[in-house]
Amino acid sequence: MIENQSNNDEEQVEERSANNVREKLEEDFGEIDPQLFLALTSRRRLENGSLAFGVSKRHLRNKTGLTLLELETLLEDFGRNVKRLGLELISYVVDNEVWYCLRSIYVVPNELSLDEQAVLGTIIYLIEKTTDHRRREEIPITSTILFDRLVKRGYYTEYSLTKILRTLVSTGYIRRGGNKIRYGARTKIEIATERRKEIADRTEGMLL
Amino acid sequence: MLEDNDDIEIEISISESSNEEDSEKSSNKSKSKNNSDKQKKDPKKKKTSDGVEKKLWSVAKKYKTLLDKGLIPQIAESEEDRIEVSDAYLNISSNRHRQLDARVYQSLTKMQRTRDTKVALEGTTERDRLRMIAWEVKIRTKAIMFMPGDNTLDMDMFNLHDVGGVQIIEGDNKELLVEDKILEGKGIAIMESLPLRKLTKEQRESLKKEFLKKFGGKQFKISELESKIDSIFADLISLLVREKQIMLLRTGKDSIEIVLLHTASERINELDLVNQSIVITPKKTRK
Repeated sequence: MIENQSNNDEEQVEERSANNVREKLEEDFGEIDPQLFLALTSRRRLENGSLAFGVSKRHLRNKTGLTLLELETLLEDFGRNVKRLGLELISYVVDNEVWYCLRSIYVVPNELSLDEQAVLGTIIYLIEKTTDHRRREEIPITSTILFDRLVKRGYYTEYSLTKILRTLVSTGYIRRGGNKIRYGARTKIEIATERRKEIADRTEGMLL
Repeated sequence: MLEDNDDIEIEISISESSNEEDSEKSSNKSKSKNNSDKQKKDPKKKKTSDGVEKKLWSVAKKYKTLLDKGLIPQIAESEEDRIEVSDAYLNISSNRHRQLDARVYQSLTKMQRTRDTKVALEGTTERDRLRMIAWEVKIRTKAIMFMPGDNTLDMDMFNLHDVGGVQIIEGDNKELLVEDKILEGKGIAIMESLPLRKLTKEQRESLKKEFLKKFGGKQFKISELESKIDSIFADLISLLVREKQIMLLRTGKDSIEIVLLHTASERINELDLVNQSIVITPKKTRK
């Protein structure tokens, strides 16, 4: 009974502080949810050509002037609201910086073409095959392996594969450094670990 | 279809022969032991939990080796293995056995799936295979949501506003950056609030003509220009400047001249010009 009451008290305090944050922000910026929604669903191209999506925690804090706790309460509250739209608030880390974005709860069409999806599937297969799942450590593959699979065996020309890879890099699905190909943040967010494993299992043996 | 199956049988037997060599040490030994056990031991004894564990282990190990090496045994052999472990569940005594049992069935299923894939892929084209891989990716993607299109500038968040008039802001004699205080102070947004418009080529051309007719070659006071152009014309100014059709020339303290480059290029060459940025943005209407 006592526990229940203290839980209720905590909830009320939390609710109150969330409301205070909202009121404070609404005074400065107007309605906050639509603005957060736009910011979280935005994307921009960085100087190196890669894609940044959503908004960083640092940027959010700078703009709103909220404390860490207040920001987290606000985002938690926002996350609950967007769930009704079939979306979920996701946080991810790039270069030691926390970013937030919105992801669909359901499987929905993505923006890749058939060929881009096929190449991404092959990359996932090759990376998952070499990765030791007990260590949970992702091992990159070399471009040579991919080109051997897809170009030498006649699926794509070198030019078209290079073009597809460039699109995958620019849309944030893969990262390329030197001869290495790694997962980009977007692949990790959009296709969860177990789903990537499923893709690898399913596509095994599909390519000659 | 039958012919296809025959082909596979041949392939499988080849793979099996190599497999036999490879996994002779591990799987066949235990298998032959099991077989001899079957003959010698009493059936009741065989059903002890130890026997079950041994049986499950040998099959699990065998399929692990086969899957790792990408080898596919004959259907009959797999069926034999399945029958061998089919009644194991009756003698399962611990959680460990249960996990082992699940593992064996998972391996058998995986092997069957790999075999099926091989059969199904006979006679498919390269395009079909790519389509299948793409499909596997497609049905597992929970996409990230994007509302605004591709931008090259960071979003100036929390400064949304109605698109009404246009405001012209000037920097010093240097390039204006989004982070510049002069922009922040005005409380304006640059990227996010303009509605998306899709114009056909004809519409674009007619808008350009209209703009050039109305503003081309004329001089305006900044406040006058602000009131005369809307966000579409502001976009057009950017476009025409980029296309090198016009140039905005600051002619006095408060005046701007929109110069048509094809008619006035000689005059511009003669002038001593200083380059300066002008940002034309929608005006924020404060409540």
